[in-house]
Amino acid sequence: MGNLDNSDGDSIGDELDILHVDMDAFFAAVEVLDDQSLKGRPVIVGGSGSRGVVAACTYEARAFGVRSGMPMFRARKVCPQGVFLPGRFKRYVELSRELHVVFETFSPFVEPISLDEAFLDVSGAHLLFGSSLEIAKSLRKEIYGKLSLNCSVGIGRTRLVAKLASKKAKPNAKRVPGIGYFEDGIYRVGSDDEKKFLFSLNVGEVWGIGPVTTSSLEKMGVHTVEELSKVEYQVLVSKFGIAKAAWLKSITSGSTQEQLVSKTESKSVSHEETFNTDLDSHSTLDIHLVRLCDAVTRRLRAGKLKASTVVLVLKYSDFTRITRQIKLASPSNDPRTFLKEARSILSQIDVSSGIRLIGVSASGLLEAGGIEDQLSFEEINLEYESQDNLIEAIDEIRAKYGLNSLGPASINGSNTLKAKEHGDNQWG
Amino acid sequence: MRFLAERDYLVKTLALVGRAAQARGVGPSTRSGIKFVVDGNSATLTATDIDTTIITTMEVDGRENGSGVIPSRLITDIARSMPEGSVSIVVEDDKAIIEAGRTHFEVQIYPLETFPPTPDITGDEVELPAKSLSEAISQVVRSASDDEVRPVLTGVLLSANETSLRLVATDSYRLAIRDLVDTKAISSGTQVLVPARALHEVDRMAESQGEDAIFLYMDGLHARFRIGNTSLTTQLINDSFPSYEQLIPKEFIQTIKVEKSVILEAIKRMRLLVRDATTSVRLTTDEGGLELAVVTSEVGKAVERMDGEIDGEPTSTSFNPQYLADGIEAVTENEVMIRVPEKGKPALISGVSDSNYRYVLMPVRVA
Repeated sequence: MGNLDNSDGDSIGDELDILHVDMDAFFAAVEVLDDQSLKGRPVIVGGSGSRGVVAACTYEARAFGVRSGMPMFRARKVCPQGVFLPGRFKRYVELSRELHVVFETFSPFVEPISLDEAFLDVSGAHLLFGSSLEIAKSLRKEIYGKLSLNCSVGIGRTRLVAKLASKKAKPNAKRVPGIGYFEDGIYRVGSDDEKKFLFSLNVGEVWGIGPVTTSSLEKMGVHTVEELSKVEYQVLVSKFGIAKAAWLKSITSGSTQEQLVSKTESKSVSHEETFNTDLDSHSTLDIHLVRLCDAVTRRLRAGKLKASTVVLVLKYSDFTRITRQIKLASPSNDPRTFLKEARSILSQIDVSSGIRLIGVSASGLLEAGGIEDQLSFEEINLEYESQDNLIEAIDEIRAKYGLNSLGPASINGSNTLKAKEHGDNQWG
Repeated sequence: MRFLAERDYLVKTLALVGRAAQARGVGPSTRSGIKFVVDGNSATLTATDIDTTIITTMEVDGRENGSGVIPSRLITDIARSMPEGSVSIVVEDDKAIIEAGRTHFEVQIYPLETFPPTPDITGDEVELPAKSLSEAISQVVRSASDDEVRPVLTGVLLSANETSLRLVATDSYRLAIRDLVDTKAISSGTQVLVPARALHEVDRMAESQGEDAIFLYMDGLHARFRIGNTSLTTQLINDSFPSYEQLIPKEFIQTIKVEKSVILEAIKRMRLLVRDATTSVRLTTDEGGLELAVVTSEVGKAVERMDGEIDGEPTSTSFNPQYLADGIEAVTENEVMIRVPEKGKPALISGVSDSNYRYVLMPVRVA
């Protein structure tokens, strides 16, 4: 993988497009977040029954040897001064949703694994947000800014590598010098390092190799992935069966290549905005329409997607919600096309009774590669190729200088541009 | 109400009128009915979805004057399923009894009072040649939009000058224009916008009725087309049609003349590979002739060369295959002329010898 001039070896165009984001001690961190008096104390969240296990614990508790998955009674033994909490699942779900909103700002391809863990495929987001490392940095900053919670991010070519890398990004992880690149909660395994990285791991550390397989392997004298790589495939087959043997081999060869599960599941991209005061004129709503179309199409472009349908959502003062949709002649991610369609829908709707929420959603998503645009008479005088380059240029400038560096003139606030972002406070 | 009618005649008439009845599940149920009024040996059938009303009279063996509103789909399906011969329809209280041979149906009917009033319009009619009007309608209606979000584009513009009547329709991707010379329908200099859906029905009516003339009546709100003993009344679209003249390209870098059936067949074959609205067909020309090609990443590709008269620089333009076929199909001559302007501008399709029909088509931009 040819690295460009970045000192950390990170560059756009490198195929390290999978990020694994793992919240640090999520449940315990949420407890501390909601009750600051717990700060600095060994907080342990888990089942309170006799057979309960530790679901999460703070790093202070880990210092006493508490680990997640450990039976509660043992945790109490090793850490008698710990704060033991039963956990508030609803609250975790709530924050997990907020977390996902942030994830989706960066990529429409998010594959959640659990409440506090997800994979992101950022292959389409480089133009907007920079290299995978830059995305990881912005993501951590964003999550901390919005939720005051820390996370670790692993960057790799595959899900497996990214997942294993995020473990190495944890505050107390043991990292082998000379492998990967570590910086403040981020661990990046370059394609060149991948083999070295995997080989350095104990088999038990590998995602998917459970305790039973680990002990079987250990009985065979196999402790590390490197040792695993030397075991004959046939030997593994006789021990574990074909499917598992093939999978174990694929780990050592680093050949696991997969798409994120969510890749086909991203069915729509939408943004909406609720107003402090209900709006009752088309002209005031139009400004928001411009922002929303800008935001929705930006995310489509970041995900290399085009939409075949534009949906306008309105909520009246009395909370009646209406949606109107229009099918595009051909799929698009062009903000002007979206705005044109959204405006034409809005113009047909009586807003005089007051609108409290407006939203724009793009559905019928298709991968943008090779998609063709049926031109309309309204575009007869546009110099189309230069317009395309323009949108690309805008995306690039925004990637470099931030979302508010450049945008439609009509969303220019008094001092600064207010480009709509996923996860923006929807009440301001 | 009581009458007898021959099955095939009844089915044909019901099918004709029923086109205006509203589909079930939309709006008040009465609108999905057909109103029968029997007076002597004549039955008048009416169906309406408010926008469009179709009224026809049929000769029947009338036994008892009266009226009733019978569910359109049901009566049509029942009549169609009846044995050949005479069908008896009786309306009694709140039901209709339909009988033929040894078959007996009783169906619930809609209250007469809830049937929408039909527009009461009378006035001077203009006589138009059925064949050419029908042809003109079929040439342009396909280019109208069926997207109710922009009602103005769901209409066909009728505009008149001293000598001719012009029909225009566009869905903003293509524009079809047909001039009917020596035809006077509305006063010179005026324009009206008639729903394309209604005109499409007029075209069907004209075909099934086989009459020579279509009589047109218009006031500021409605247009009524009368063919024989059937009339269709539609509300006009009260909106101004976009100015379209400047969309007609005047400068071209290339003119292609090709046999209509040859290129239509080729497009039809190309479309075997078209799976969705995003696949375009590419029209390429060089000194040797022209070539159509469809290339898709999922399915495969198709290429067909054909002879044609090429005049101008070699070009390569992509079009929506359906739109391209629609435009060519509507040409009445055996040879079509496709004129291609610079990139990103619309092409002009017409016959070779006259320009009464013109079709302006925006290309597809291939990313």
